[in-house]
Amino acid sequence: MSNADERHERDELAAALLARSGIPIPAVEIGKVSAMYFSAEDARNTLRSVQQGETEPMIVFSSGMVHRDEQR
Amino acid sequence: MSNDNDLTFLSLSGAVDRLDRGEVTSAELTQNALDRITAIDSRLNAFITVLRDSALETARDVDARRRHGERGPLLGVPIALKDLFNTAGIRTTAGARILASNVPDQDATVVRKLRAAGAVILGKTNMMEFAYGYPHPDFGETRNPWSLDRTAGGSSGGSAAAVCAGLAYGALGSDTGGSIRSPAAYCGLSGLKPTYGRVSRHGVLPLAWSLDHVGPLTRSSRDAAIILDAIAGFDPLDPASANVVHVSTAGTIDDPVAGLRVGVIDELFQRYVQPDVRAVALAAVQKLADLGVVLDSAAPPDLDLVMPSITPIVQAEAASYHRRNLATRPDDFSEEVRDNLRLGAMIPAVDYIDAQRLRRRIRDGIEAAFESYDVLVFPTQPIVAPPLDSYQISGQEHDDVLDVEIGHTGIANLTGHPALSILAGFTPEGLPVGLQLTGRMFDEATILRLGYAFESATGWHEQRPPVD
Repeated sequence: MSNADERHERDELAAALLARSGIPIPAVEIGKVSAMYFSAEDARNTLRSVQQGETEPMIVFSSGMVHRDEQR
Repeated sequence: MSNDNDLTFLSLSGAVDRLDRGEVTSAELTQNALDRITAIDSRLNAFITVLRDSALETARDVDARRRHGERGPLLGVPIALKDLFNTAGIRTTAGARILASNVPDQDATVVRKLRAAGAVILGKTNMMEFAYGYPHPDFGETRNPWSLDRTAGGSSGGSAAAVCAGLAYGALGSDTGGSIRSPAAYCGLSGLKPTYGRVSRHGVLPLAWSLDHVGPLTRSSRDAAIILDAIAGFDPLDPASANVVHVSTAGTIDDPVAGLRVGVIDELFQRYVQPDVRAVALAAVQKLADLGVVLDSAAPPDLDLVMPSITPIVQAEAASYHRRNLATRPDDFSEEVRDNLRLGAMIPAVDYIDAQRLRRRIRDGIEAAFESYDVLVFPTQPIVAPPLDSYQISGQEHDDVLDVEIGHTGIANLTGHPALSILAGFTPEGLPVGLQLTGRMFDEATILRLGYAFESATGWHEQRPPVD
């Protein structure tokens, strides 16, 4: 796949992700946001690899409920 | 024009002492501050709204209260507020074009508390747009009083510059990834991010609900303690408010620090840290040892994973809050904030959840460290105040100034632990360096008294910027 094809595919994916969230974006701006999104791919892969095999549940510690458990 | 430096750089507690002895009135302190704002703020861009008439009116009212015998640690003290805090009948912009005409009808809880304590609200300070790390062109950047070609940092840059330059005796800021502590470090102040839930966020415009904190920026740790004591406490109007009794931190500020176990996070003295910053921070750590604390190397795990954890959380939560405006009036955001909000709207839910789960792991590691230590220390920021226009998205991982900054300060936002940035010293160029003291959950008292002890021993916090 040529670089131009790859960029186009990424731009389409980025536009689709935004559309799913109800966020329109002018075609002229999608390239920049797409580039930003995919430049963070390593960070996303790091995040996902860390969580693979982890079984601890998510706890949003910041909830008032958790704080009340930690009263000093 | 009054420009009395003898009044200008009083500590907050020193100002109250002079007020109580009748040596000065609040009206005089307030007029001096307002005159100074007129004289200097054009160089700094620290204020969005200056409340001249109401500040003087409040000051005269407070002077009358004092004549009738009322006393209090903030009574009559001129304070500034980041323009993120709702102030009844007063424009509250969040540094954003979208809110340029926003006038709330109620004070934020912390504003109400400061008014009840008799503080004089001087004005609303400049900030990065919606506290998101990039200034909107309509409001511009705030310059650093130590070097006007550098930023005061953010997002609470206006509050930091105002206090640093003697335009206010203290200020409030907010902190989602370091937005109190980073400008505090860059401007040579004491900046406190309290424990998550310690201070009400009711009436404070959110950036990311699970990361946002409110706290003071002051010229000393004692002054930070005084403001914290005034604003802390359970608020049923804030769903994240902690129902934990707040005990005065100013009351124990000069308790002994010898014997405190201080964990030095060596990793954070290395990664991305500028050599001058490292040297100043290490010298400050040695000064802590001279005060009798017990130093040891600490190595909480997973600190290199702070950015992969905090980034999806702040981006997705911010995008959720701004979703409607992002869809209907995107051009009213700055380019950088708009692009970051769009990124947030693209984050898959499973990535957000994974980030929260990783967050718990990071928090557990920090919490485990407090089984061995009373305080954890490292440079607040690995760099000195960057040049103006540095907050641009480069698109390259780790080249972004915000990434470098948040890698340090974001830890305490993820974990919720209280964290205080103190002035560690100055580089050979004369730029401030911050040292962050992180404490146990709800133990602001220990980090504040350690900060106070350091300041008392070094006097760095009494240095004045060359802004006059």
